[in-house]
Amino acid sequence: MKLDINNTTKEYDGDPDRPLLWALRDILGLKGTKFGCGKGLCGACTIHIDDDAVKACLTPVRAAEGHRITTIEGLSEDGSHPLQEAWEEFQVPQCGYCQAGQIMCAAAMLKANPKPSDEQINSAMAGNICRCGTYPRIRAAIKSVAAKTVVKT
Amino acid sequence: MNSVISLSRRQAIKLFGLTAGALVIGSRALSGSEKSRLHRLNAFVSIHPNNTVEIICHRVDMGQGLRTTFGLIIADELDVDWKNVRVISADGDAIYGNQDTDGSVSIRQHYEAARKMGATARAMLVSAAALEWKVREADCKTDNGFVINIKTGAKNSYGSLAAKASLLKAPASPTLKTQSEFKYIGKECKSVDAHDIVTGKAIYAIDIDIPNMLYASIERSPAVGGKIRKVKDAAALKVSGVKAVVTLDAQPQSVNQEAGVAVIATNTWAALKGREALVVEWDLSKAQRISDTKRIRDLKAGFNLKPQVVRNEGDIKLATASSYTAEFYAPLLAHASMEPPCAVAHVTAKGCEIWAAIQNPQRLRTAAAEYLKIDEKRVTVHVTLLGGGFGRKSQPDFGIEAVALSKKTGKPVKVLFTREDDIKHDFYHADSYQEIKVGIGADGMPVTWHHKTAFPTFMTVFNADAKELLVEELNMGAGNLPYDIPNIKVEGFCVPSPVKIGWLRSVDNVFHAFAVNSVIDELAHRANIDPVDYRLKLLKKNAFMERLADVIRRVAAQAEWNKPLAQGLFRGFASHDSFSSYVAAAVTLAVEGTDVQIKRIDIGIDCGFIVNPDVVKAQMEGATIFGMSLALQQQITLKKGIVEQSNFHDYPVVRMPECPEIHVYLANRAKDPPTGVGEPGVPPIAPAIAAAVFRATGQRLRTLPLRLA
Repeated sequence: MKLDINNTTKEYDGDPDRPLLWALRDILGLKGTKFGCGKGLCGACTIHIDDDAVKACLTPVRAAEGHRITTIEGLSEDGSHPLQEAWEEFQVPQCGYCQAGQIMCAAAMLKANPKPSDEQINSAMAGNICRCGTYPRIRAAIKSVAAKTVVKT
Repeated sequence: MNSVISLSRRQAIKLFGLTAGALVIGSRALSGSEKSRLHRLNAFVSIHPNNTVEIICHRVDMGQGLRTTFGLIIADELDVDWKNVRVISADGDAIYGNQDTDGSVSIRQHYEAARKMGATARAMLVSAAALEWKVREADCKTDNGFVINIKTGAKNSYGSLAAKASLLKAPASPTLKTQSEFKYIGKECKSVDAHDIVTGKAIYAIDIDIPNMLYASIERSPAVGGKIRKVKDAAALKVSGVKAVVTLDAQPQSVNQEAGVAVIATNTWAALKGREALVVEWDLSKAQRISDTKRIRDLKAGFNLKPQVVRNEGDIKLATASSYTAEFYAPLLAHASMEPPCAVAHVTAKGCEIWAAIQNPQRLRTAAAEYLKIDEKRVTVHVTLLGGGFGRKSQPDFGIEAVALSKKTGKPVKVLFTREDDIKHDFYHADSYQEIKVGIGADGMPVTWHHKTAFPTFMTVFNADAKELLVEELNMGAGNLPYDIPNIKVEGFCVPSPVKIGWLRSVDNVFHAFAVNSVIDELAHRANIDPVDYRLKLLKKNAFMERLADVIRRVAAQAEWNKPLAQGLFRGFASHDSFSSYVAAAVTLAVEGTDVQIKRIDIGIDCGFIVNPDVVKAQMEGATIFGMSLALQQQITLKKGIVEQSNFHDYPVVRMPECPEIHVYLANRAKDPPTGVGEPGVPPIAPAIAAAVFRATGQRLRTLPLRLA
């Protein structure tokens, strides 16, 4: 099966029922996407399929065939996505383990809704746990990006 | 003339109070061939001819920013450009002194020594330049990676001097900077890991991938002390990718690993599927099959055991105008770090190499050597980044499982706990039962204070027969009561646990601070005195408690404690000193039905001189949320010795929508040494919430997590 991952076509001939998380990590060598719970409860494995944030631990590889898959490694070439820059500017990460998932979730939200309200941010990010408690900085980083975004009408 | 000696390991040993050990190896910053050109000035500082500076961080970073903070301390005294600094996590090795990263001691116990490491290397570079220029060292100065000849203005880079400097004798007492000369210490400094983290390049234990590595998922005894009766592995072995099913014997102290059956496969998914197909019958006849209701009774009955009296002043039996008695229960807690326990081990004829998310790499190294019955020098433990730790990853059990499986299979093996494994096979935060009885004077202030606290000791990690609490455990918030009360008795009772007990962020301070602050709040209420004023009045009058008093006043001011709140909002206050730091917290919340909604938390800390302010602020924010999770959501319960929770649906963690505004106050005391930061923010949060809930509802909740009727 051919998979479109981070704008590159990758050949995958493993179990089509394997969750994308483990295909990405163990077979395709993309380890930025993290395992946290395996049940879609924590968001550490959040990636994009087309423009939607999805939990890679619950998404079988077959469901991604024919769609664009984006992981943290492909969000930008060099860490220059506005959210990645904001994450550094606000010194968001503590242990950092959940942050790829947090950034991917926030990126999908901002793509769909560049000027989210506080409540919309809370609700979009509710599926992503950070045990270190970096939420105040995640919030601040998202808001700073949203504030700088010019919405074309 | 400087005498030439090989290396200045002795210097490191002297400064850190160490015994001798192996050389520093391992570098993620430079490639192998580049690394060989590094010149080592001491165990912590190496410089490449291209001016790259490698700084070793010997303490473990699990999110508390230590790699950045150690890097900046050494870089500042070394006087180099932060851009050129690469921080390398040290392997487990006695050369570095104690690497066991817990107890919030990394900066408070290693700050001065780290400064000396930077200053020593700087002095050697100055000596090398002075030799080259044939001038006195006093005629040289340094500036951002260069030694400068003051008279001629000539400038040599550290990179060009490193080879020569590495051969010089290290000065015994190098000149340290004054605080006003600091360039990085006490200032804002960018994290050395943030860019790798946000681009998905940071390496955690789960990301370690070495050739021919196999992946293990382990079914462990559901209750402590279970034995394998029967393994039905036919279906598991049929799963594509599964290579073997291997049994693991239980390991005694101090590994404390349960018996298990490992499904070993060529990838994680196959191992997990194989494990689903695996059937293990357990003999739990020797296991402790205790359930929660009995456990709480056992804890309470602990008061009948022989007491360990840690404090006894005056006479607690004095008659007083009135009295107040309250009992408190706090449950077992799991750590639930985002990266579950994970380690890779490769056992060969030569020895053993381990990559692990481990808080105590030396302990894992020793345990691996003991397990393999080989010399410790043949075991290398590489420390990856840790996806959280909070005390769980001090334990070497998961590393030893990887070692055992690698030995049995002859291949490198990665052991990864599932979330269910993590929640069900933790070294839990101690559960506790407490009683505080106070005799109150006519002025509303306490005259007698009798605190009984029953909980299991974490010393069972090292000794199954440990039947006494450590004095240190009792002095985490009970024996060291900071209030000026003439008659005090504090007694501890050690009640053995049916599950493994370890240590969790701020340890026994969690439940002691909850009980003590809740009683103080009630006493203030009964005396009709504001709880902030009551604390300030009751605190001991000494230099230490003046620091706590100051933080209390500052946090109260920041929270506008004396200003009336909007309708429906209520406040609570708590304070606690632990890990030599002083913390106060003010909570503002609303209650809707039985739902507690935290709106704002103000938290302040006096942790002496602040080495990395942004990290201290981040730790206070994180501790606040950690405290909220245990105050409102978390508990581990037992049914016949088996943990009932399994994942984030039944062991929840505070999420973004529940996260309040958090305002942090940092006292910066330039003249006092740095004290603990990672843990002391946690203890005051639960009691401050409970106090606010009392004001909102009239319900005095004395059980964690707080549940409104």
